[in-house]
Amino acid sequence: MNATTQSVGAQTRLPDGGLDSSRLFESEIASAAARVRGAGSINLGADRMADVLARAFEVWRNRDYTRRRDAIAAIAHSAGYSVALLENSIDALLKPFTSEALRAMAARVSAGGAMHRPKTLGFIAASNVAGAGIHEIAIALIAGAAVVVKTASAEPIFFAEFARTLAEVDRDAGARIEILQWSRARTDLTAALIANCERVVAYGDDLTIESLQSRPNVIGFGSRVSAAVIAPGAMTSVRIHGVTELLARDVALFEQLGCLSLHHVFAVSPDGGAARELAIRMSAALELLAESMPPARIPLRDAAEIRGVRERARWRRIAGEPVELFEGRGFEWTVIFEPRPSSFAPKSVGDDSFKVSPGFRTVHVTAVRDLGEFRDRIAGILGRIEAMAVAGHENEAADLRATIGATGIPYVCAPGEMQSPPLDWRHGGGAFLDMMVGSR
Amino acid sequence: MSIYEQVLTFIRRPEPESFERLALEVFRHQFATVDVYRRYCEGRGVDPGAVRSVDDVPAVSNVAFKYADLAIDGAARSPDAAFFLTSGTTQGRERRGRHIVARPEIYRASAIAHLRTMLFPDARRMAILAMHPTADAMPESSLAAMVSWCIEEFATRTHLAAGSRDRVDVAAAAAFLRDCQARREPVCILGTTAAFAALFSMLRNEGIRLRLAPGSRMMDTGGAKGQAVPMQSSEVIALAGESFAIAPAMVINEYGMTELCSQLYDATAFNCPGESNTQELTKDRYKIPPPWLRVTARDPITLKPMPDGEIGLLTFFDLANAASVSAVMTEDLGWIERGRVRLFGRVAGGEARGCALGIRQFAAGEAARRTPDRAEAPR
Repeated sequence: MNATTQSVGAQTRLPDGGLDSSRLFESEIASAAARVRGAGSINLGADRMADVLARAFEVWRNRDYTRRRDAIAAIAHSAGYSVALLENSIDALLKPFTSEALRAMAARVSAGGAMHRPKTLGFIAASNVAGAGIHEIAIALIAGAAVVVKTASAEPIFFAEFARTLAEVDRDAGARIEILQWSRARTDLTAALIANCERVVAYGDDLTIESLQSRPNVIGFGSRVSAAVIAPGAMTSVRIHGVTELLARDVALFEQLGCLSLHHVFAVSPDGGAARELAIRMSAALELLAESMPPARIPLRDAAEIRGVRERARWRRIAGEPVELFEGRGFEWTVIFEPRPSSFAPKSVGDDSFKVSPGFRTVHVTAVRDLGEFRDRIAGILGRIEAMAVAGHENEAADLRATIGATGIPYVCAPGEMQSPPLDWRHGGGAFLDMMVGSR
Repeated sequence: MSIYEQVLTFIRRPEPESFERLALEVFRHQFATVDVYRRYCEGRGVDPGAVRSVDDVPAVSNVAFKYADLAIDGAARSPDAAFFLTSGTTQGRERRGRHIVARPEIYRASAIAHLRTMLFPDARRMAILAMHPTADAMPESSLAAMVSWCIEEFATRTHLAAGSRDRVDVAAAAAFLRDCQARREPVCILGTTAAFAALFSMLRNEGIRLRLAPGSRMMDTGGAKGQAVPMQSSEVIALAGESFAIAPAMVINEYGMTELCSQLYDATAFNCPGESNTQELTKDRYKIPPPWLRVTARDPITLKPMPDGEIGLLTFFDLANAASVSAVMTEDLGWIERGRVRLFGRVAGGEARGCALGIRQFAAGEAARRTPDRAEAPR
């Protein structure tokens, strides 16, 4: 029995497909860590692990692969996503894990020489985005670490199924990863994970990270969001259609619930006209996506929050502010367009800052006069921005990349690439990457 | 009889069977006389003549009061009108809402009538301690107006407003309560939950345990607003017993907001004699609206009323708002059971999201479960 099978066998699968962690004991976490540590003591080499991962990712990129198909169906059912939305989201997530990228990572690991890396890593996965954390897990495995993953109760499927594929591709490689699931209420089991792993990587909100980071061996990826800045060169009649389709896709994937989800688009548009056109085109693109990638079932609290966002915009408009609300028939999508703040009358406190949306395809589009105004807009939230999509003429895009690069935002990309960061993405600022492969 | 006189008559002598008819008349009056509301309804394609049920009356979000004067034409210039401002939220500095109450006498009638039912069902006057300013000191506060009316209507000569615009004078409040205790005179204490937290804290720090006379009672409102660490309802009830010797059934939380001229109160064995005692120490209390206030929980997407027992956005039709807009949708979640209301919490606004949304949602859900009946009420 391989390690992955053992881990799943340690739990009880309930009739509804859920997992019962009530019979899991601290000792089993310790045993799992010991097993992967033991498997990790056999030196497979970074190149072999990269090849194994490449083969596993290759089969997972195939939409007809049975394990992927079944996993997506199960996740879609339990999370309320449409299968089409999840298929596209997983495609985007797995896109960067090419053989070349994985081998390049292996080379980088090997070049790192004898640097001190943790040998056993624990991962506490989040439930909002299936597969979130796959970059770090792949890097950890290539770097020779053994891995124990605690999945979220709401999404226990993706990593368990991917690990099974890994074990099928290469039994020894598969033995280096175990997937367990327990409720976050079982703090005893989480403490056991932290006690039995050299480092634990936690994907959680700030409260969760704060509670875990009292432990010196925990690295946290807290709450972050993403944005886009579009220069005039990308809003010409020739380009605007393509750009807005890609931006809409960045909004829709994973229902806008991850750190790589687009919340706010800034359009460099001195008179606001091009920015308004961008908002209208994005609305049209989101409407089309609602057909091809039907929206998720929206949980009550999120729907109530979207209702609040819409009503605020609606009443600001009624009150004479130049904000415009574009909305799908139901709650399929929402676009709120705001011209530059200098034209607001009266100006509302907070209306001119970065907007974090409630998700589920709710996005703000704001005109900015120039890059300076854009910088001012995001200044207060720089530490919270994970990715920034940029588009414009070649020169404009270069300027934007330089401007954004200087702010320290970890991932700068083209529209449509937001959910596909490269393997060496400095997620959360790069602390994990530096720990595993050394700083650049 | 004018629409306002009809509403006043209803408040004085409620006839539930005529609520629907009167509500539709009030809606049509508001459509005709509240310009911005008429534009809102027209924007939604609503023909007032075609509206056959109060459930179909378009409700404005309570945030609308931040952006528009939702009052009958000319109200803002009326010398009789009262102007009440919301106090903002815990989510930071933002624009304050404004409710222009062109007919304050309806507001007063509504507030007093339901206070009488829910806080003074024994119809006795008593000493009143308000840990909040009165209307003369804070005219823009709807809660201050209620405090003043409550004192005028229900207080003996012994009363004190121990709050100013900036602070609660807990020392004066404690001294007042000591006097009442010495005279064995029952006292009614009114205030925000935050003000009670300050008073409880002071009494505890100084080791003071008062034993107020039987019949004493308290009403808190405002929930978490203004508190760094919000008190749970069960804590308020427990501390009222510990600090004042006030029985759980006499600790009554009010749910109200500047945008509504009517309020809801906890049902307890004191004001609802059939109410189960098992609810006295729990957070499972219902809130009771007056007969002139219809409450529904709405699906946030369709805005249709949810069936009894299912959670939705609490939406009100308040006849007492006759001179502004009666149909108001809040950002509070709750559910309805046989006309009674259970609060579930307030919708979060624009939280940061990221790889860990699921965990954050869990934390928010836990927080909501801990404070189901302490939603913030902007006043």
